[in-house]
Amino acid sequence: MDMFANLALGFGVALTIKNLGLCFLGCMIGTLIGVLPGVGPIATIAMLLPITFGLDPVGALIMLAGIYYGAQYGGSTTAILVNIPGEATSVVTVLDGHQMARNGRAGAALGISAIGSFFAGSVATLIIAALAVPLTRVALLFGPAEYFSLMVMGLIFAVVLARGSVVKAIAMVLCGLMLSTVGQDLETGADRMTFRWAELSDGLDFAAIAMGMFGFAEILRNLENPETRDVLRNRIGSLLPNLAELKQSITPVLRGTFIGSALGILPGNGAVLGPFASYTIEKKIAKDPSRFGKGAIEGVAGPESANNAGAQTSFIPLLTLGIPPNAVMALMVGAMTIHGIVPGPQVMEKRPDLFWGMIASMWIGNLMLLIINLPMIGIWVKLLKVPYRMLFPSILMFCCIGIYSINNNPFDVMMTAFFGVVGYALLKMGFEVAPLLLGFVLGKLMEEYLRRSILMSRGDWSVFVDIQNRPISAVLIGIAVVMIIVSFLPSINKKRDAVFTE
Amino acid sequence: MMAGLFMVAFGLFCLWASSNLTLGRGANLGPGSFPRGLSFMLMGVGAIIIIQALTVVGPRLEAWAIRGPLFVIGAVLIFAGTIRGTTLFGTTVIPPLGLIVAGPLTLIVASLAANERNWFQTLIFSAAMTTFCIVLFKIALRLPIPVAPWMNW
Repeated sequence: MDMFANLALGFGVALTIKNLGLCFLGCMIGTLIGVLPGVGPIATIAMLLPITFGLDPVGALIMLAGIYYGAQYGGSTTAILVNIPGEATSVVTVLDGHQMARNGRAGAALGISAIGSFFAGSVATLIIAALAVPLTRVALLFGPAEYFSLMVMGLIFAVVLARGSVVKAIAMVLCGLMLSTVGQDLETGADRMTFRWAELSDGLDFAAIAMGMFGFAEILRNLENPETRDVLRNRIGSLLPNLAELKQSITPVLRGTFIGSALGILPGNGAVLGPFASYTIEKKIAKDPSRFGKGAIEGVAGPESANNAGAQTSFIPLLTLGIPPNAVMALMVGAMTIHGIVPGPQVMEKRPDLFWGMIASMWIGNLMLLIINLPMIGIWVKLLKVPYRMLFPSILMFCCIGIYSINNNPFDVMMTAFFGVVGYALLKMGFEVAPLLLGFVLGKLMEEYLRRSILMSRGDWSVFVDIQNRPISAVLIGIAVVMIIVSFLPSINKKRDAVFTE
Repeated sequence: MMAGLFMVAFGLFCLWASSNLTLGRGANLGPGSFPRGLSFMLMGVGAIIIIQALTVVGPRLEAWAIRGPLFVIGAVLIFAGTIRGTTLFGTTVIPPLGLIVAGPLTLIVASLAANERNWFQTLIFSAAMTTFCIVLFKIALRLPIPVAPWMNW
């Protein structure tokens, strides 16, 4: 019954006029960037971080969370109507969603994806509420050694589940960890790798790295491939799927919700895998798999539900363990630290209003998205016609103003430009930058826990794998090692490629 | 191949940059040990990437565009340089110009990165966009950003 008392507290916080407004604003912005191809949620959240400084932490996090799941929602609109995934997780929706639109069932596709997402989102909210308390209790048992091992495992999962080469992803994590060491040492106060630059002694700015590597690099990349947007000219038609379609969708939505929720909890970017897994399963168990790719409604209902469920359950590792599972969650960590909140198991005890308020707001946000998306679909379609050559200078300008106002310092803007170039170069060399950001966010904590564990063990490095005294740590490290080995096995490697190329 | 070399180089660079830091002894890890350990790991990973590049025939590297990065990054640097002015070696190179100048400059230079352009449209657009930003950030959100420093605004 505890869960319901907690949820009641949460709804009390989330239902204030101000927080409802911020939630709505977040969902609107999220939908907007989800709809516009070429503007990702990471860049947007990085851009809006400075604006949330003036808000109280609860409101700020409610708004940022709204942007995140709003973008997941909006991405499907572009996928269905324009045949471009507005967001990485809606890649599979393109396959059948756009075909449905061509067959004159655009409305039904949009409708089912909204209904499925809403259902999945509601279930995921309940899952978060149910799992939060027990997981937090477990996390409170963790000592520095366990925490260090947990972070190692989280990073390894992120690496293995990312697309592209595992070795390159590891290199990115290491680079991120390395960048996190710039600045004053926490214990001794020694300047590290600052080259006597006063600007660097506080460490590199998180927002500058995020915005440069994601925002600017993304713009540079988009400029290279001139896009052709073929907005559907057919009528969208009724937004309600007919009875047969609804019937066909019920079990895929249920399965998608389950798969998405489960994968979203995984450390590493499980939320991206959800839609892929759901699509593959629907295709496998379908009576007539040849319908897929030609406008099968199951191919929209399942992945869209999985997508939204995963987006929400990926908050679980962040809220309970303090470990961000993907780049967006890493940004949330940044937002929390700026407001003086250390993410992790203590949050629930110290700030129950923030914790439960955020969870309750997710359910409210999902309801809002239903309203934002369905009746207003026409407006979003019009927005798709804004040409990129006007869009990207505006984004650039917002970024500049945003970074400048963090510290009122033009140096930060220059830093961002520098990281933009680095990010672009890394993309060109075939690196994905998301693991770098994760490494950067976790770096300081990891180093602190590492040093503390070594101190407590009096210099004995075997603390992390001591199965007798520290079984949890040993198991976590064991899982990480197995994941790495498995990912290098040739047969698995091929399957991984197949999952990400489809 | 280049990616691997880059990683090895970055590892070496970090090793050099952190070489003045104490490693610490025994149980007490000093500030230098974490960066140094990472440097060696980076070089190791770089070496693996190089070996992979030499043994596996992968897709060719994509061509590098110049135009996009030049104007986009240029626009950002112009913003950084003009918003509050720039002082190099103790002498003022660019006076503080504020958002009212930095805004349109940034937008126009950024627009040059696109493949097609329409000067008339760009000018109208940058004026409108700057106004919008002033209203949103300075007036609505009250961010302490200089708009027109010569008027103390």
